[in-house]
Amino acid sequence: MTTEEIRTKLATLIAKKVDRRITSEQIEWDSRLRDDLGIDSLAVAELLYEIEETFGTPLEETEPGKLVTLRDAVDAIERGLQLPPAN
Amino acid sequence: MGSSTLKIVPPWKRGGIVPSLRRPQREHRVAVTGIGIVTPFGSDLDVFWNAMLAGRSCISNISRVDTSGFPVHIGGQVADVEPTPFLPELLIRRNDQCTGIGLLAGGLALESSGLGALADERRPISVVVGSAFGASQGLQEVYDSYFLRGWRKMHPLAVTRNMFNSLSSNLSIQYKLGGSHFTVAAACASGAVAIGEAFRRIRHGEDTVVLTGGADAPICGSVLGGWTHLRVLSRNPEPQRASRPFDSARDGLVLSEAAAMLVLEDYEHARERGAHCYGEIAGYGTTSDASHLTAPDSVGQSQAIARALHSAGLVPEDVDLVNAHGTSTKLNDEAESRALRLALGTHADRVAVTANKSMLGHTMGASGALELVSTLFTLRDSVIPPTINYDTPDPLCDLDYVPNHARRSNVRVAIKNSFAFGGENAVLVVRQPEEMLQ
Repeated sequence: MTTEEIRTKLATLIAKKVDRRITSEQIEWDSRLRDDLGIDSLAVAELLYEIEETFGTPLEETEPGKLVTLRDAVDAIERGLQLPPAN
Repeated sequence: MGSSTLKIVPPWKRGGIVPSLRRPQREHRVAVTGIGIVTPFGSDLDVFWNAMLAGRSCISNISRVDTSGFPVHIGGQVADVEPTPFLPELLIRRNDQCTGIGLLAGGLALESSGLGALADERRPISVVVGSAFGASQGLQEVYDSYFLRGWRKMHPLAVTRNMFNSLSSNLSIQYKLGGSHFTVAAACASGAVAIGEAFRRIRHGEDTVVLTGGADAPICGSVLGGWTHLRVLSRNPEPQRASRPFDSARDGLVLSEAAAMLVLEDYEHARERGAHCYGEIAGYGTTSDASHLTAPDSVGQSQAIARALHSAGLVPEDVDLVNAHGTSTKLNDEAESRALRLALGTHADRVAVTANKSMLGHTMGASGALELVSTLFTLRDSVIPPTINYDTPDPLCDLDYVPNHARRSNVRVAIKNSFAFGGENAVLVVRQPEEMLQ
């Protein structure tokens, strides 16, 4: 899976978590999940679950507080994909 | 709809009373100024009321759950909640059905009160709501996930979605209700107890406005299975004929889903702002049978009625209508009939008794609130909805149950009975507001 594919899939997941109408294309690399998109701590918990479902990688080693931007989340998924899958 | 600009003055700021010196000086009268419901008939108050006056049942074959392995296949199901201008899709999706219908009913109640569902700032409005089962569907889902697929596959918001105060928390947050909020768990009396406790908060000057009521969405396999084991669900295969309170052929209750929310308000405050008043909550009484988890006790029930009348400053002869708990089980309907004789004496022969569960099924923790809504409409329209499916009298249930057809009657005072497993008895007294009486 390429970085761009990860970004596209993740942006699609994030767009569904945002209360106001926003498309995945409008989410930029440096969009801040909390401050720009309104992703609160509950939405982060949902997002981490969906990341594991979608990409097959748990982000257990990643502190949710360090996922500030879309780029941070994509980086974390890429790191996760290099680890052996859970179970 | 839209942000509320109405200013609500909390009791401790009214009349310039210094909080530290303040003592309850008097009892405040309590008006119902807003109503919101979600039922198998839908959310429209007129549709709901017209269906009840026409004697229509909302019970159908269950479609949400595969009941093929069950001996019971019928229930009352609400439609999935759709987003509204005050209830975003994200919030609905994040929560269980019970919370979703409660949020919708709560928003509708605030809208109908004129206070508005949405507000820009915290408002001094409290929330007291009840539920028998809470997020029963959500809990079943997480246990399914846990046992079948392990903890990783559990819903990521299993805690916040299913915690018992999920509904009161979400009502408070979504509608900026910053008084206080708590959840009542009193089984099938939850809605009535919530309204009674909300009534007390206003009567004793703790609050000016309280959003209150009940919600339950029990149509899920584990709840259906649990009730089936207790042998209290009707096995009647005809959905609309199954719930038949006080009829000699009754064979059990029918599970149903609903949410009903009321806005209770200090009567003077409501009058000052020109709010519409659906009726006055005049009294509230509770007792515990202290005898058995499931078997009802007429003495305990009759004492709750007596306490409620005492609380309202009324006597049995003042009561025009009893909106019965009337579940359609053998035991409840006999015990309740006896309790009414004990509490009302010879007046029991002159009072009308109606059982809304004949049409609505047993909406569990919502039932006390939803059936109170019907009672408030009776006060307004002077017509009593019938007890349907009443074909053959039971010698042990020997009162006037308003059988099968709505009845014109000027009801000035009514009581709403709600009795629960655990021996919890709650009775509310409502009466026409003063303006209607003149």
